[in-house]
Amino acid sequence: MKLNHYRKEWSGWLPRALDALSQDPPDYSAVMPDMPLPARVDPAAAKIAGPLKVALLTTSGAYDARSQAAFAASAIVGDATHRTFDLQTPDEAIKFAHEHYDHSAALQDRESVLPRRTLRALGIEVTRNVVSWSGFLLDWPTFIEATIPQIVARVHADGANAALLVPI
Amino acid sequence: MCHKTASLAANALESSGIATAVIGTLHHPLLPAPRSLITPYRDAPCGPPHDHDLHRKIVSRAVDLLYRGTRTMENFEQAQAAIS
Repeated sequence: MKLNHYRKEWSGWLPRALDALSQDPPDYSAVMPDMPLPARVDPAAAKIAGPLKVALLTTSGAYDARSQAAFAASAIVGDATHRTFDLQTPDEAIKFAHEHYDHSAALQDRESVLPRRTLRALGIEVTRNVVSWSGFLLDWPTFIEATIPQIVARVHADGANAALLVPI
Repeated sequence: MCHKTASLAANALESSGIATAVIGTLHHPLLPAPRSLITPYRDAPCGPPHDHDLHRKIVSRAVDLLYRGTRTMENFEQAQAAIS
């Protein structure tokens, strides 16, 4: 088994954190300051070559309720998975699974958190898939090892040379 | 936490050659993000519902950031005030 030092450190923190995270409401202040973080990387800013083509990414917990399961938003450590759905998905089919923000604005107008029509109104080409995850997640090792590489691969496969991310 | 995971994803995308811009509402968690635009609209980073003119201004500003060759964080309100 390949040793992942960050996962090892995080796995040492989790058992200590579970009691506080299991309370109702969870006592985040007791444990979050001690959650191990990965080594910070500051890559050089990528440069756009050719015509702009933007991928749209959101941490709002958006999903296509017609065909996809909701994120496990109530899980103690959140949900490190992601969804992709068609840019043309009707507003009413887009639901949000995320318990750490007020969904009122997003439900009134999806453009407040997911600016699909806004980008098109500006004449910007957008890739065919929206990429979404539910941003309250504590399993960062899985997010970093498994989910982010899939997100990066999806953005490249869709032909983007830029990405707009909208966290809530 | 949303903003922090967005920063993680943005850095991974930048490392792979994809330019990124983040539209968020919290300053500190976006410090690691390569390019970010901070707006004052909690739970609606692109602007309040149905304010489409404001949505266009915010998204347009974020798209402009994509062409910055350096890491940057911009406050949307301050940028608008400087323009007007």
